[in-house]
Amino acid sequence: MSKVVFESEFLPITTVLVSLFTRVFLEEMSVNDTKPTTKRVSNDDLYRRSSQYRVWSFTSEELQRRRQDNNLNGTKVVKQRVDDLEATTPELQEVKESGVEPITVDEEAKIVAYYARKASDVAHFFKLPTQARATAISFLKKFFLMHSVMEYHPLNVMYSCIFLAAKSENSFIGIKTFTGAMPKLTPESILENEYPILESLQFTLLCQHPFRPLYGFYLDVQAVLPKADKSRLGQGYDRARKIVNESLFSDTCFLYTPPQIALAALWEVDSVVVERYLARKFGYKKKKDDGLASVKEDPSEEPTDVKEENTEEETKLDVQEEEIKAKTPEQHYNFIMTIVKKCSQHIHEALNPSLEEAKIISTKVHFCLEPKKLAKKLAKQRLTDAKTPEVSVSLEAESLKREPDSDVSLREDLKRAKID
Amino acid sequence: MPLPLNYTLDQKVGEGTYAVVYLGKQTLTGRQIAVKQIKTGGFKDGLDMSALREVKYLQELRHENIIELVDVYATPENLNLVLEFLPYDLEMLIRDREVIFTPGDVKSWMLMFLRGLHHCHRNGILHRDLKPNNLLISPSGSLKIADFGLARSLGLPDERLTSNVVTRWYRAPELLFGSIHYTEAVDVWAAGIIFAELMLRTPYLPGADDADQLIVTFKALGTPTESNWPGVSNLPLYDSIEVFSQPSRQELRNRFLAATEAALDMMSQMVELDPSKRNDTTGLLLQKYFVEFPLPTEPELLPKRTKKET
Repeated sequence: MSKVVFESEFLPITTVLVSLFTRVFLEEMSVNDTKPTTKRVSNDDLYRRSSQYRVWSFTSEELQRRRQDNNLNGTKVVKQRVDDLEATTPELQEVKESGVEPITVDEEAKIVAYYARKASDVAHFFKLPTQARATAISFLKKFFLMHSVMEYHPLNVMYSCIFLAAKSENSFIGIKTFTGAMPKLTPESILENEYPILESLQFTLLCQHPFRPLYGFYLDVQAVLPKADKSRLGQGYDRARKIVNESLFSDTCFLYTPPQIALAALWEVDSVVVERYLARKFGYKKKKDDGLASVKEDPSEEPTDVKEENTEEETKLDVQEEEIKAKTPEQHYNFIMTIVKKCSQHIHEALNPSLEEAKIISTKVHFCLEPKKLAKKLAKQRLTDAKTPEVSVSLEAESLKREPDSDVSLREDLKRAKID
Repeated sequence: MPLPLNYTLDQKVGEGTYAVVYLGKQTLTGRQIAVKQIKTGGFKDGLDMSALREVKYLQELRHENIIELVDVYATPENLNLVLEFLPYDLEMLIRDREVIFTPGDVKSWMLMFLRGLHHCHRNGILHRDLKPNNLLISPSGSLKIADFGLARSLGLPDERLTSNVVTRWYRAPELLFGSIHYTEAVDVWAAGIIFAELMLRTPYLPGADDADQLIVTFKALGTPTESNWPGVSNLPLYDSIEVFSQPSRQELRNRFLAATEAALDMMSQMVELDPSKRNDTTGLLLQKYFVEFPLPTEPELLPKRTKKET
């Protein structure tokens, strides 16, 4: 089944645009021919071979199905845990009846997003480079595409993901330093998850993020639109970086390629420049009344000139990809704009649950993981309260009253620990 | 999910600090494989970083001239990398005095080597430890780049890298000077030194220690100065070194007696002192050297090892 990002229609954006900022293609020479025969390898080909495409690209439906399956599995596991509670546990019936509510698919997504944002805070605390920070978030999201939060509490997994990502991205933090700086962490609690995480990642560790292509586009826009206002582009770049950062908490990395996400972010902050840029890039002459006139251009610079200026490799790529050749510049342009707009919508679907919301879900997760705890809690409650209030109500109230949990109050801890 | 049962481990062939290597077979196909068992327990900081790098990069690199990662599986004690079976390395061949290399053989190895290296570089991956014993030879004669334990992704322009990479004899001058912003050019240098070694059948720049490496390198290829490498004096470890002049073409001809002009051209472009002037794998693969006579030997016809393991 083809994935959204690579339906054949997808080809132009990577072949033409990825080549803007990375080294392109090259001859695969055959050893023994007198005249070397050459076969071009495009950046699309390279991306298709990457684990990010092979293992971690999905359609929206695939993502949704996967999450539902995980949730179903998790729910089963929780049921099993409750059933496994010894019959002698006096509160068994109550626990069964009301206490342990399985987490819903939506709640799972929220709590993972919450910890993804927290992973970002912790990464900042350790002054990890952007690449390592984004990789930690990516590891966490991937882990919970393979598991339900009812199997692993995302807090523990989060710390291990950061530790592993730092190692994988050449920003190693010693385990003592790492655990010493965070409340209630032990080396064992971090290291015990390394292995399950690696397995969930299917041993694929290389992550490509949109930050690099964003920088590439920033440079290329300046080259293609030399008359565009530099400070406008600079400010646009800074704002687009923030949007790319926000995209880390959405599903975009599973649905689009890094350059597509970068372009969507740029388009959001300055659609005029990006549309002009793409039109130029594809040699597509837009009508004058399209609002692009506000970007001043030398009238002598016709798009056709730009086409000739196109780098050698792009011309070669065009030769290779027959499908692209068959497309008109207008089709190219419209096709890419469709992707950019869709992607930009997806970025805005990034979840950002509140602390209160996260607390409630986190408490539920704790009970799902350890129903025994809930049973004990209920027993204690029954001793103190003559009358037992309705359990489900008390549970929620409980979670809000609880001593600030080490996990949910981490943001505050970090603040106290003098970030930056 | 692959099971350990899919493979048999027949013979232990090596043991290092973080891994044990076994030879074995893929049960289903009977294919010979090597299994690198990486110990996971007992390390203070968890999984070894070079093991992680090896997995990370080999997962991304599939190429005729790069060692194939057939499979990865986890057992409670170990992370297991199933690699294609490659019986010997280029260093063993170079040292084997009974083996004679023809210019076509050297060309064939260099072509396979540069194709593999080009694949690494176009994927944005630096190897950082190229040397003859990391170039393995398959039973059918193909050369494969192996050991990605020091590899890393190409840095961003402002990213700091460690200069303490690459085995000393193959270390590029920018690394000797402690540069923290380097590129694929460090791999190209190492490849150039290996090219020289294939022609000479002896290590080209065998420095006794780090200080000696500078002298040996610059005696052979000239001392970098502001005039042949603008900006070199700003590098961290650049110091007043004895200035040796760059070798003349005739001196190179005398050192590499069997080399053609095209071979010398290619080597010179690989061992340019200034990394920005060094050719990249794209340019090198298009060299005249590869199309002039003699043609590269067919991999199956390349010399094989005569001596058995000692």
